[in-house]
Amino acid sequence: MNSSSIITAIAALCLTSLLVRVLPVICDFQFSPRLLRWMETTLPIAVFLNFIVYLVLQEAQIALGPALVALVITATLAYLNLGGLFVGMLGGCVSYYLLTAW
Amino acid sequence: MKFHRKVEPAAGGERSTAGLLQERFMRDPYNSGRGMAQESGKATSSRPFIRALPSAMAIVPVSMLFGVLAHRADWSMLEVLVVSVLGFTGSGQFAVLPLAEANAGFLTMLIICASINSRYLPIALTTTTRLPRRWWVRICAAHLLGDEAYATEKDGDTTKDTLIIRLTIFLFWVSAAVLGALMGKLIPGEWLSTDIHLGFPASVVLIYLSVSQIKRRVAGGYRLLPLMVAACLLVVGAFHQWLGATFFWMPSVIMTAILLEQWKKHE
Repeated sequence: MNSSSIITAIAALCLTSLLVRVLPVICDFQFSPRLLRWMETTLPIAVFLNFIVYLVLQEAQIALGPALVALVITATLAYLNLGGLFVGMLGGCVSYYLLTAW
Repeated sequence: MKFHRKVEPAAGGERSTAGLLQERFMRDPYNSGRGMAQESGKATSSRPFIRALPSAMAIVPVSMLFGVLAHRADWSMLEVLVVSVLGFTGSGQFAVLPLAEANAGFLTMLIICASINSRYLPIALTTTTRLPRRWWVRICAAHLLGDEAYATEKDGDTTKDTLIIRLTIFLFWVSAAVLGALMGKLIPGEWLSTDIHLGFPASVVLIYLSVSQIKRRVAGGYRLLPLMVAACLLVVGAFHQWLGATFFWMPSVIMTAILLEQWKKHE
């Protein structure tokens, strides 16, 4: 691979970051208080719900059964707050790798 | 999740602040340090670092995998370092590997990367109040925004907390990518099994953090909660199915937010 295509790729990623992460932050948008409140309360919930569906569907494409079982275990541990993030991660990962090996 | 747990005095006064933080973190990663700042000024910088640590460690295998794959695609160590620093996006970095190999044009790469990462637009907008005022630090902090950092941060976080969380995850990501490239150089290709899904721990962490965040944010705000969540998940699933994993983000996030708003209104 020539290095110009690598430089092009790096430039594309850098510009992407500027467009989607930096631009919304440096532009002085004048939002109404109602919209601001909506962005601080409702929008994050929507983003996290989208994360969940995206991750479940992406992982299901790789290993449907083990992914569903492991992610349900993780979500349950998170919902019940049993043991914190470490235990949640451990429960999800151990069950996934055991099920995929089996 | 008990987010406003009463702070209990340390038994015998002999337990260290770090020990207390660790114990509290194990019980509750989000508010493990709430109230701690009053107890000890020293704890304020370690608290967000400890909170970010599990997420940072979970992304290490993913980033190492990127380093290995980039090395196999003839990227030098320096190029892996630069792309991880300047193009800090997990999915975007993986996406450009085959595109660069196929000599795709700049615009093609930009459109694909921007589409994959369009979710950061609403995310960035919701975190502006936590960012520093000085413009160049603000730009850097905005660039360091990642999914894991967003899910780890909380509304009450100070600017310093936000920077520590983002920087921790970013540094782990960059270091692991370089380490992966080094591994790719040292380890024979046939030793690297492609059967093991190294990206799964990162998904697990994001699921855990997302569920915790949703639970905290919807608490007391909605009635018929299971039904509302199910309806939202169905809407997102439909958008994902319709527009695909790359292009569903923006319309789906907006539609879900509208649904949540309407649900609240009708209650």
